[in-house]
Amino acid sequence: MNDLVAKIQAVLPQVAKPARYTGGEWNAIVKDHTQVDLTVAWTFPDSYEVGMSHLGSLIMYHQINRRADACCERAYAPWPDMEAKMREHNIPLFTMETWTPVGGFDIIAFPLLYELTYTNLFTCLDLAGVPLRSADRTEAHPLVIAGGPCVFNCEPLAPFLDVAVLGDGEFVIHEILDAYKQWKEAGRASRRELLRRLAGITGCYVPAFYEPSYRPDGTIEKYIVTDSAAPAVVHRATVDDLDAIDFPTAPVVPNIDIVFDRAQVEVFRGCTRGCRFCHAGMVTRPVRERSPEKVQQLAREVVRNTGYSELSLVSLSTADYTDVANTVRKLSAEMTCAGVNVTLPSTRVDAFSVQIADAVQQVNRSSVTLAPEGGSARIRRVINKTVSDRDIRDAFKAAFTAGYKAIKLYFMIGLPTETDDDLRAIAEKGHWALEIAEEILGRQEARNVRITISVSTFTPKAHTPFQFEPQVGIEETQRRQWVVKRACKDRRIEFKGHHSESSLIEVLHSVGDRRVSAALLRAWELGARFDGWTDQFRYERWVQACVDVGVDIKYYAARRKGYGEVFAWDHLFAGVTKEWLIDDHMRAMAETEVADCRWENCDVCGACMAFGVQPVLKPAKEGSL
Amino acid sequence: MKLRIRLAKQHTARFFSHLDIQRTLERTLRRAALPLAYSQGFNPHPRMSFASALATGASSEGEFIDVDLTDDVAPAEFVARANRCTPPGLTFVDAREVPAKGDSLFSLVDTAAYRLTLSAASVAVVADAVAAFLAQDVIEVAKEGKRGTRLVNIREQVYDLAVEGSLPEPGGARVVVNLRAVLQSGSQGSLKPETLAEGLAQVSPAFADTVLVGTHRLMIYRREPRTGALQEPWDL
Repeated sequence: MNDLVAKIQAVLPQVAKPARYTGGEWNAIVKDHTQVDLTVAWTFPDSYEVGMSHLGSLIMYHQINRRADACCERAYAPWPDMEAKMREHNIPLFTMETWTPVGGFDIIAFPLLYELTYTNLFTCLDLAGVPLRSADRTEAHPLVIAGGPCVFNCEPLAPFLDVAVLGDGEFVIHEILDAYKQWKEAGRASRRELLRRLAGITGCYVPAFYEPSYRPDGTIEKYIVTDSAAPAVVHRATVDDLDAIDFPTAPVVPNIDIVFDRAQVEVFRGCTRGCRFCHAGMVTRPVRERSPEKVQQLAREVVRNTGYSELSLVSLSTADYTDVANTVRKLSAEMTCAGVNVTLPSTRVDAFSVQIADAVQQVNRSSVTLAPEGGSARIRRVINKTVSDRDIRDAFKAAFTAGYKAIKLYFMIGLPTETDDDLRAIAEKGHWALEIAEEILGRQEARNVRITISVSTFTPKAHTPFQFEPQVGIEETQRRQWVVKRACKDRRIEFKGHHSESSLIEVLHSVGDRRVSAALLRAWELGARFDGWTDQFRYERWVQACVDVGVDIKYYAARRKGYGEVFAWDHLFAGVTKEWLIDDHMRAMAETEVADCRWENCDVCGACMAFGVQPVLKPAKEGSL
Repeated sequence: MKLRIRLAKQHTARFFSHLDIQRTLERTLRRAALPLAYSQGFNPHPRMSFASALATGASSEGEFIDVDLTDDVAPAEFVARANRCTPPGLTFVDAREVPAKGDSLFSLVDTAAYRLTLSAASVAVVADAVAAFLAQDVIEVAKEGKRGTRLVNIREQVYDLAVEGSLPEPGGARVVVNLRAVLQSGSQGSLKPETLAEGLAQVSPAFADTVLVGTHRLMIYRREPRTGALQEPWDL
């Protein structure tokens, strides 16, 4: 052990940003391992700066550590320079808190937030000395579990995961820890017995107990359940009342600059706006709000316990929070005098949202970011982004009236039914912004206005109405980017296109099945690391990997899938029924919108009935504010 | 009121960059609920000023900051409260009140004393190199700057250099040698310990396989050019 400490200390001065690996942060929880029954290594398969920004990880770290019988420590994927040093000096993956080898923990837990982190999971397991394949692990090895949005189609990772945990983690983690503890106390008899016990917990998916078969045309024939302990369909774990669960009010405060370096309070979970491309909006239904009283109380505690100078009220769309105006105004008034700014992470596309963001946003007054996603009103009906042209103009007006000189606009291209007219309508929004700027600021002032149009490529995701859709492909993506770019006819408009190649590889992960697992492993063997980082991603490596193992990228990315097809994720139930997804896809083709069930009629997507929950909106109590 | 504070940065905290230290101290003082004075503007920051930056990876017991407060706090109480809120490795050592309108710390100090830890073949190798170094008036080392590489006389940036002690390296034939070095460090110019090691190897080829394994800053000073007398930041 002392030998390991010495080895780590010797390599730290030789790597970039050594504080990524040292731990020693305020609020980090260090427990004596001999005094607990269970140890969990919460291993984020990306850099420290990204992993430390993830609120879900802070929540789970707190949930596990609040148990007297368990300790949770953090580890992150080492950056390639550190990985090389670790291999050179035989340093295993170690945790931040106590520099303990991850391979010695009872459980290794991976949060999977986006697909292009999967290869880092191999790096972490390999450096931990844990067999990559679940089937090769023995009773002496840690249990490898994963959670987060990506596990709703974790089939490309199926051979490597012991358990995938679907849904909200706050309650299910305790069921998992309790089951593990019982198994451990009974003498760690058989690993299969442990997996059988876990398979019985709602939210727990044990891939080894499910066996797919394929048709000659390559589609999936069926999934067979191979163990009586496993359910035919695994349901998501769901928390019904956010006020009733513990929230981390003393989160770990990083010593180095991270991506979201601020205090975070979650104001609600779920989103029912129903954007048809959006994975998060389909797998987290329904909306469950935290009460304004609770939000404000938590906000004060987090700020006091961390010393952060910025507080962010987070959710999938914070402007939709019932009490947003009041809560934001109240917290902002209270905290500004102590040098703390209140911010909202995303702005809805309308005047109200821009005004709210402006009222509090004192940090970055230089620009406002809006995501209309679709250029034309027609394509926005297709994708169910229920924003009107008028909303967009009003948002621009509000932004320039508030004094902003720059607007960033996010759009998606390659959407189903998209035509070149829809693409040119994207550029048109930039020109609208300039016209409005000239009206409000005058021609002279408007010369300094900057509009950024960022365009990403539509990527089909499992469990969304667009799961049936193909991606347009690399050349067509580039052509469509060019159409938009050519239509931007003012030097004040800057066009930014997203990497078409990494979007393609993302589809391989997002709608892939178990056969894709070989390609992931092969890509990692060929050196794939940190694929979400443009400076690390190498397309040729992935093409090579797919050739080597006989995986056809086009089969997954470029093929329209039938309504009647069996998908690799059909046995994982996120709440929205396949029948509803088919209906909604048909409505998309008919350019018909669906209303948000928070405020309009229920559309019977299935989530509430399946999980026994309801949309929970929490206006402020009379006289409480 | 304005307090001048001495800090130590050890263990994992030595890997904090200068910006990390600034941010971490700001948060530490906020957590301690000390009455910080804030700058004006949209993005207010506590009014703190730093003496000089230290390389990432170096430890120190001689870091200084000045902090403006809106209410009076006894220096000892300030240190005690702040130390309850620091991350491991960062320690408030001492604090004293200074005139609110004084010059900035950064402009006042120009010298730093270090304890450099070397892994060497023998004590004699280091002692010989030190003697050879001090015996010369000009030792030029190539330094990369914004306008290309130029030669700098580092001998005039070294005010004192002495072997302080040694011990055998565990499990090896080599020794660990501690070297005390007083070097120029300020807005007029700074000599990095790594560059000093280059200069030592230049005057004494036997020094070439010596490795600088640790840099620890002991104190920073203002040096009186004529007498060479060193004044600690407390007296400025």
